[in-house]
Amino acid sequence: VDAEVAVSARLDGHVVLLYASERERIANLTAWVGRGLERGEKVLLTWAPGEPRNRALELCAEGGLDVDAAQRSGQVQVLPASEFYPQNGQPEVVDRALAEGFSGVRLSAPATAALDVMSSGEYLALEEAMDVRCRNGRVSVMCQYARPATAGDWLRDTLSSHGGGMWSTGFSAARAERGVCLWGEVDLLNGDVLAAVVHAAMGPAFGTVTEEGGHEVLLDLSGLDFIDVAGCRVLVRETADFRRDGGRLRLIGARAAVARTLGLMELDAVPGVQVVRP
Amino acid sequence: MTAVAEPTSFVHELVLSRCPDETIAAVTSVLLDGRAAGNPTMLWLSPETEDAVLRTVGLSESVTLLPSDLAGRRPSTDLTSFRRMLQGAAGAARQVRVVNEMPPTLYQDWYQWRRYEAAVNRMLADLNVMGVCIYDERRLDPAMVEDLEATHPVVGQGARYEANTRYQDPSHFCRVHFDAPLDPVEHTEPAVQLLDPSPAACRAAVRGFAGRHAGLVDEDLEALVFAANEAVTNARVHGRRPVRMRLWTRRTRVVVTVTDAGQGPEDCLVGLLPSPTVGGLWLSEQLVEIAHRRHQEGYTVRLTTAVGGYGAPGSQRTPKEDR
Repeated sequence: VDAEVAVSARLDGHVVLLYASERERIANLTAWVGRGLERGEKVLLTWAPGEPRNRALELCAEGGLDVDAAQRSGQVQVLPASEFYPQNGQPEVVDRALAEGFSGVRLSAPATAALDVMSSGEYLALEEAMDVRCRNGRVSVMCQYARPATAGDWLRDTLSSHGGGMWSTGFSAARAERGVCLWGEVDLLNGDVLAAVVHAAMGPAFGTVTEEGGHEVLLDLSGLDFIDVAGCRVLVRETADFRRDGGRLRLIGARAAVARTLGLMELDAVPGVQVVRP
Repeated sequence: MTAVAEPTSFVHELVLSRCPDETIAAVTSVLLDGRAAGNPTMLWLSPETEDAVLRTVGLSESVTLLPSDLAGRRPSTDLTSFRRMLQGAAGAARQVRVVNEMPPTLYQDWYQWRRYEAAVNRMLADLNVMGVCIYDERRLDPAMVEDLEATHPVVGQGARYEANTRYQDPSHFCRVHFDAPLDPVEHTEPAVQLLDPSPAACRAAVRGFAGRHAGLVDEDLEALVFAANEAVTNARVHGRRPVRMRLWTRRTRVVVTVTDAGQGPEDCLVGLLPSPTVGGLWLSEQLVEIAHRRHQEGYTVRLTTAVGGYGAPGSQRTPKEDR
């Protein structure tokens, strides 16, 4: 996976940020806003209940970004949740920004901001609608979720509704042409994130139909530095239904250490799993 | 010696050999017996023994020679290959005979090896296999002979069985021999000590400190990273806090211990047999040397990687070097 693809997968489209500390939030938000400014896109932000209005801008400034100028020129704008999520839907906000002549729009909000003005069901529906919208290349959305509060079904639903990348502590994932790319390290503390990523990747929107008519999903492990035993079990467990229905999981690009773990776990011997050696 | 009826389940037999001629005689006897009965025989021998046996009885179709590179063999991987090899033969109507000349490297990690000799009785229980373990008696002390007699239900010579009254139940044997003695380095100040580390911090510490060891190749370093990560994960999931990870580097080996305040695994066969729940330890056994110890403060698992691989000087205790 080349560097530009990795950057784009992380920062463009409909991405999820799972952050466990403000430091992580700063680093990712700064990179995400910075990319928008560079590309001449309009950046729209809002704040979480209990946070100061300009929290996102403060974080960007702490991250070393000059947001003052961008705010004065109108390229960066902070909206209250009620305007960020208007009654008539977010497309209205997007269209307005594009009408101002920007090359694209990016929107970022803490998930709790949305949950303050709508139900979690409405929010997931909105996330799904934005996911479709983000596929045209002119709209990027980064939803900020705090960990470990985001877990269980909520984590699964969240990742299923984000077709783009997922960025979390030490581990990230992004949609690829025929499946999903994984980066970083998988262990006890983020095994549930891997589970949610793989679960989402088993959805109909992912993968390809093979010549034989079967469904195939590719996991690109070339960016993965480590996976523990439980992580390997996640790969098997979360794909069980998919494989039982005739689907095939192909694991590609694993580097030496990860490849050895997959070998020890005998993943190759699992029906419907194929470990492709470079 | 009384001959007993030929069983259909796993027969684990011990042969103590005092010289090469006795070894060759034992192998030849099993081989000829198997040939007469039309049973397949697998030979896992040193090159010298293999040579002598082939010169005496010749090779036939029913005999398989296994790689005679005994130097690289170690307890856990040995058992794994053994199981794989026999899986194909499992369920066969005919008894498969395996003659296993134990390589001297296995004598080095006696703590773990004797536990494997016990566990194998469980692991292969349902296979119609006769496994003959030939040990060089000259390299064994009386306590080691006692261990071997406690872990082999049959002692004898070749195809003649003699039930062994000193044999012990594998779980009992592994429980009694669960606690390993301290490694001398454990009396010294560790290079690094982490309190309640996250798995990521544990991996970073191993990569950082053990990675500076000039002699440790990447593959062995990552093996230790893997095992340490599983140990810390197990301690956090199954043990009790506080969890302490310590690491020592020596010229010939790197040692990591993970201690938690819990009582350690309930099953004393843990890590010796593949298991769907505590698989991490079983896999770690394939990569590094593992020792367990229960003590006043709780439970410690010790991981040792010999610099230069298994069988290198580091996998033997070298007290001089630890001073």
